[in-house]
Amino acid sequence: MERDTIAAISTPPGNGGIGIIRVSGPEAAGTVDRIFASFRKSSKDKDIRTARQVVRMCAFTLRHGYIFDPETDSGDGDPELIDECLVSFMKGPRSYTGEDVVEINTHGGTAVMRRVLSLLFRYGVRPAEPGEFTKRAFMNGRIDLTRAEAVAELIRANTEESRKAAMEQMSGRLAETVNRHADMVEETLARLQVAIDYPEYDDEEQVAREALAALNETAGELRKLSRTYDRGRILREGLRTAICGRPNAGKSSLLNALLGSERAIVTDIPGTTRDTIEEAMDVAGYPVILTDTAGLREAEDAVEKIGVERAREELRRADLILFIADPAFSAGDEVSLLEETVREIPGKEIIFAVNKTDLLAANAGIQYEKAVREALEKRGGGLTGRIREICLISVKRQGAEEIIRLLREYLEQRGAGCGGAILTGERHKMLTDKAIAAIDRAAGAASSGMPLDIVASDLWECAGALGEITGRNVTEDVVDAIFSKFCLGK
Amino acid sequence: MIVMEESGRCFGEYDVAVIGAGHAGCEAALAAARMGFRTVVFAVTLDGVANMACNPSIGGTAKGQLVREIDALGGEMGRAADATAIQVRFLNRSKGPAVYSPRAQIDRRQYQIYMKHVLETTPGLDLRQGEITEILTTAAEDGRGRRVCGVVTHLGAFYRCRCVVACTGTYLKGRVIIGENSYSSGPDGQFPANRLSDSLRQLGHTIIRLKTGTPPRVNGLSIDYSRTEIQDGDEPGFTFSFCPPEKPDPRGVAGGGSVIPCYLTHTNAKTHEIIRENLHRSPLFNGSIEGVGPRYCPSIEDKIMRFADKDRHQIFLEPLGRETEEVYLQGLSSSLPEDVQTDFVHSIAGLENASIMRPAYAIEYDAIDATELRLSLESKLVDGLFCAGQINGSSGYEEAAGQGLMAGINAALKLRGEPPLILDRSEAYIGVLIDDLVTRGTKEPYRMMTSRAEYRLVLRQDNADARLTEKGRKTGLVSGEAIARFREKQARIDRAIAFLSAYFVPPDGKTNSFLAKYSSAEIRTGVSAADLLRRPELTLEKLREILPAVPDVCELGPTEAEQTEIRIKYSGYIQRELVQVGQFRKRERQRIPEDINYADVPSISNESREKLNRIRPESIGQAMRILGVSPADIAALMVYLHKREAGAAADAENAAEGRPI
Repeated sequence: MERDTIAAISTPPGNGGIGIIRVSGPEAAGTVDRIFASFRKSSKDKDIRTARQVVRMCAFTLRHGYIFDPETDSGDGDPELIDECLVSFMKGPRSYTGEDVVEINTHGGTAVMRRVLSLLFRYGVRPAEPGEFTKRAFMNGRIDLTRAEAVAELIRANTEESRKAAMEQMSGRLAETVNRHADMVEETLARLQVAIDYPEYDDEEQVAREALAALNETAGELRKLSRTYDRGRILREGLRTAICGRPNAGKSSLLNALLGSERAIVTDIPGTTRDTIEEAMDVAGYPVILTDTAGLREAEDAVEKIGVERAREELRRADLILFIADPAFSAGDEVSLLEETVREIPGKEIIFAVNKTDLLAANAGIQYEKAVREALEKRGGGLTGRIREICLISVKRQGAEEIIRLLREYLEQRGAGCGGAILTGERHKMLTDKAIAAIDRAAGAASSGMPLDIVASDLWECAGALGEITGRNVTEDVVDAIFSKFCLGK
Repeated sequence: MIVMEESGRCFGEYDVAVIGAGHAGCEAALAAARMGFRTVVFAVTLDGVANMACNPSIGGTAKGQLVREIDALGGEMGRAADATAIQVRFLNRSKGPAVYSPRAQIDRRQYQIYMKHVLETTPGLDLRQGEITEILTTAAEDGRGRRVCGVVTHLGAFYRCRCVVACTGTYLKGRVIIGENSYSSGPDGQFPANRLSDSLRQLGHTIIRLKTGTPPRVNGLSIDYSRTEIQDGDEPGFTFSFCPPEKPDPRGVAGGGSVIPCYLTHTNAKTHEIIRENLHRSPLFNGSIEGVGPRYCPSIEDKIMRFADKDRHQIFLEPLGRETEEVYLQGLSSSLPEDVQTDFVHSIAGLENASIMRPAYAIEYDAIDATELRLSLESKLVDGLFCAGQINGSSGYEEAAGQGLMAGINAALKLRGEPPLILDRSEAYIGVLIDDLVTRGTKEPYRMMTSRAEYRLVLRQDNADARLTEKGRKTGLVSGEAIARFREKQARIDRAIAFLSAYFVPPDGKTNSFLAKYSSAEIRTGVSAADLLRRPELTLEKLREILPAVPDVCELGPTEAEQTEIRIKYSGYIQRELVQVGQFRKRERQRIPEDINYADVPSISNESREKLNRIRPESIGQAMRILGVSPADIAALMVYLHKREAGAAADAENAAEGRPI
């Protein structure tokens, strides 16, 4: 019987209507409880964080509720809600794996599912290996021997595949980068170990403590690497581009033009698009997920209200915002609408596209653009530095081509930013973060005057985590480094 | 095939025959005899019993831990070192509890006398001079393979026995190399054992060739110590033994024996020049040495070649004992010709007129591939044959003694019909040592280092008794007195920890002026004494100034106070390591049945299949440590094992219900 708890997305990759995250193991219910509340309590009643719903659930039932991040604060004292979801609980041994299984049915967006997964990982669940649910099912006698043979093959094939895939990925910059950091850590470790294993060897302790200082830099580099995970995700899962703007600004028409099909219902009645629409397209080999959102304005009916709320949520998830301005409104109005919209969504880059320029007089387009710039300058605030591009388009006259060109430019630039090492795998990201935490602890222990062996124990953990990424044998490495770099012996 | 006829006269019948009376052989023989089995131990010469053929010291980093473990399990090395120490130092005092390491300089001759006398006076143990040339075997009872049945000496004498423990050190086909000269020899001018490795090879073992070396010894009266730096001992009261005799041996410093210092000097540009000019005469560089030498113990010429930018190397001058002037020059191991040795020794400060008594030499010897052994140190090829020490590719007295003890214990347990005692990597350095040798093998002499242990905060020298005394009790090697003292000690430590965790220090003026005195941040609310103890700048000793004088704290002896402090101060780190230990043990507990046929395991790579088949790991955990076996292969193996188990259970069920299988 396995002791640890594992989780993975168990629906096919991509953005389906629904996405299921499966959690299996002794801590399945307990862990989900840390991030799940079956109803949202007001800020006065703060026990949302301790509500233990899942462990008390009757087995084989469903419960409706919210996934939240207990370590955030959305401003009103409540934690940030990630998604509305249904949670089902299957009590072991009568579950697929034979262990306690909790399945979280989310709304299917990859970003949401990843966020939920990362919360689970934060609370001690580990990513399931390929085929691991099935393996556990077999180990716990839930499936028969004939199937087990196939599973053995599958596990092997999958791990070999992923190992190969990992190796291919590792052959590039990531391996180089991780190895460079691992070298640094191992060399420092070798110095500490020389001081420990050869106590009479000159003044190694001093040197070792100095070497520790250099690790701050390594920690910084690893932090940078950890952040690339997000960029890696974009390359892998697609650039989420949210199209937003005033009702009837031409968002749906643009989407259709971009996709070359009539995906969105286009009418000239403002507020036609009441839900978000998601479509994938290919731009210069990169996947781009376009989402068309409901028009931004004060909604009049309840359905539309939900649409607007959805639109904001979609903006929060997006990597890039494509704002469509309607020149029927003044440049100042459009800029304030945008500012209002993205005020709570900091950091994301925006393409400001002025549509319907075919309806404008010859010079009016240029004039409008100038006015937009002035308005932006005047407002500053939340928008400073976030406007990537201001462009004049007409969906009717090759406006889509212009947008595609801008997207390609953006992707290439962002891709170039990732030309160095990129973390793409969940496991690599987790190991990198583990290494960072260990290095920080080592630095903390060193500066608070902890003895060398304690510092070393944290560094061993750090080196071990990095070693797991590239498959190095850390003990051998360090022992080798000790003997090749230091002159020791009788 | 081995000749089985008992042609010669039978000189004795024993349960266990131990070949070699070095550090491994002594422990093996004592363990087997003390566990109640008739034991004979052979040495090429009885003047070589427990000889320290290299440095005259016991302990040091990782090795100090080994000695304390040997003691906790009921071995002799710790007591022998305590009885004959001429100086004790505590290494790494400032570097943390996991790596505190005691080391004693030993009176080499007294140590031999002590150990030989213990062998002589142990009931059921016979000590014999003789070179064993052959291990005799017979068909095993179960019809599979062979089991040992006796040994033969070079004089043709035959001894019947049920188990053999081979502890052959550097004797097997030993060849000493000094410059252009080389000759057949054992260590330290002893005779070699030239025939036994052929017998081992015939029994199916792979023979490898290893190399080691030792520096010159000089007459201390010819050293000018004024040009060197004195290295004195500290903590003369320390004993390796957890249960030292009431009246300690007066030969050791713990028993009041005088402390003899060591000295430190350095090589210089002149030394390096002499060595460089004569490198062509070194057998290491002209290719006449085939054995693989240890990297951690390079010769001086090796150091100068590999670390050309280092302008000097440390040389420690270690006395060999009280009643001798011989001094060991630690750092000057060499295989250069005698005349070059003389020149470079004379180039060193303090050694200008040193009179060399024994030249440095390199020695090559035969060893076996330790992956042919089980974790119990019993051969996989020959039932009842155990191997320990340098024959397994290790190096060092402590490493040898640790293996010897385990081999002796396991030979005795086998004769009792009990399962072997196997220490895992989270229980003892001995466990790390044996697991490394047996699972991965070694291509160079293997030295124990703290870097090789994963769970160093758990494997401390101060708690070796807590880790191993109860295990030693089960074998019968630990005396009742030692067990009682151990349990009392643990109870006192537990009480002290409980008190310190529960006692709240008030945030008053007395407390805060105490804290200010040691530049420790003041407290505003009451905190437990244990919390204060976790501050790096505070110690239990200091805390006693403000703690009430309760017996739980006042009556702690120094070693108990030490362990109390370590367990509180580093509890967070220790807890984290214990979690890892838990995961580790889970994998160790997943046993692989001995009769597994790897050809039947589907979908593992051929390379892994070959390795698994050769090493035959005893658990999934051990299998994972074999170099070159991938996680995918481990997964496939686990699925296969589960299938097998489930199949066996179904068969049993069918059989019980009378259905045909």
